[in-house]
Amino acid sequence: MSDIAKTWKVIVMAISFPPIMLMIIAALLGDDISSQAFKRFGNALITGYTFCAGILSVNMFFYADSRNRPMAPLFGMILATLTGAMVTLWLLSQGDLLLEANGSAMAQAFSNLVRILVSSMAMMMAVVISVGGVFVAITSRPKRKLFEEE
Amino acid sequence: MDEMVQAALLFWIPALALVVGTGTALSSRSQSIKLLSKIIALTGFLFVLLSPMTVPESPSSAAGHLLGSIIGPCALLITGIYLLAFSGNVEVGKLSSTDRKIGSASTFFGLIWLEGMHWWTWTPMLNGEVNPYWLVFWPTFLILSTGLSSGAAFALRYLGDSRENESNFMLIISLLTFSLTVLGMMLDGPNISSEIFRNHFWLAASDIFGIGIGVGLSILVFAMVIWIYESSLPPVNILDEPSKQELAQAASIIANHIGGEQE
Repeated sequence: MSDIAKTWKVIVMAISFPPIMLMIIAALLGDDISSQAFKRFGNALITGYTFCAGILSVNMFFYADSRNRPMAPLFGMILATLTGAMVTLWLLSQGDLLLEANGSAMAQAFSNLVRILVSSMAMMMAVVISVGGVFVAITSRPKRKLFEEE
Repeated sequence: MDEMVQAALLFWIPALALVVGTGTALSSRSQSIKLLSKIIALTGFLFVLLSPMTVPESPSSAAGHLLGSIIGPCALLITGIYLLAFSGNVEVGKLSSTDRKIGSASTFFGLIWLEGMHWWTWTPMLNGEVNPYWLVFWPTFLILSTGLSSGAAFALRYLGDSRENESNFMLIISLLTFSLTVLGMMLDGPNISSEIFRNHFWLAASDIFGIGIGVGLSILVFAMVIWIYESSLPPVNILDEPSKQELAQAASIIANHIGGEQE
């Protein structure tokens, strides 16, 4: 394995390690919410997929235009819809995806939309903290000499 | 007016305007479209902020209430980090030492404010209960902050050159957010018990995992479409080798341009 691949592996592990440790601690403290957690996972997966597929479908029009492939957006949308339908059917076959507070699929869809927006805000703030922290750490350090004068 | 129509007009359409307006303002090249998008986004933002008062019976308006509750500490944090970063050793546009002090104070108070929402009585409350979206925001923010800061620390150490101090700083941030999450799981706050926090920690982790897989899957689907199209492109026409006469002509043109005798 090349050095750069090893480095990326270490970084991915470093990102995953603290959340995994937190999950272990939470599991040791012992709560059984597996059914609720699966429902939230399923809803988040479908919402995240739909959101991102929508954005990428729009981008396919730019791709079709630049590479002279007019059918590419249609093909992309059909494939995305089929994959989405298959994933949804698989999730539904594992159990009901409606959370307690939502009585209908439509109410659940609206609730998912709001939750993904709130989660996105939290994600953006986490990125601000981590990326901003890196900038603050780098610029707080005194200037380094790049070359020694002869 | 029907409740659904009211919610659509006073929450959903403004929320859509906020998302679309922000996206267009960031991506458009035309100055007039940018300005219009900013106005649309700001109007949408104000309507979403006011939704707990305009459509109090809609459950989604709790998101507007959360936005209003966290906008203060988040703005303080963003401003503080910006001021701290640009008052350090930057080559262009360095801010003053007063800005650095203001930045430190903003970051500190922003963090205290956010912490006070969990550990003190500043928790966003709606109709006498903890805002349900705060229980989505807070664990998601903590889980991602600890993971991303740890990733940034190792990236600085392995990809950077002599960046151990910076890496340690990021590890401290990661440890701090990690400890806050563990404390939340073990100790009760005035409004949020440790059990409720643990439950929402699992739900937030499920959300992050689900969103990650969903986004990854959609990228994979569209990457596959592009790969199919790109691999079916006809091969590029290969030209014949240049003849001796063409080579001689090219050589003379090159000689004229690099020799400089004619000028």
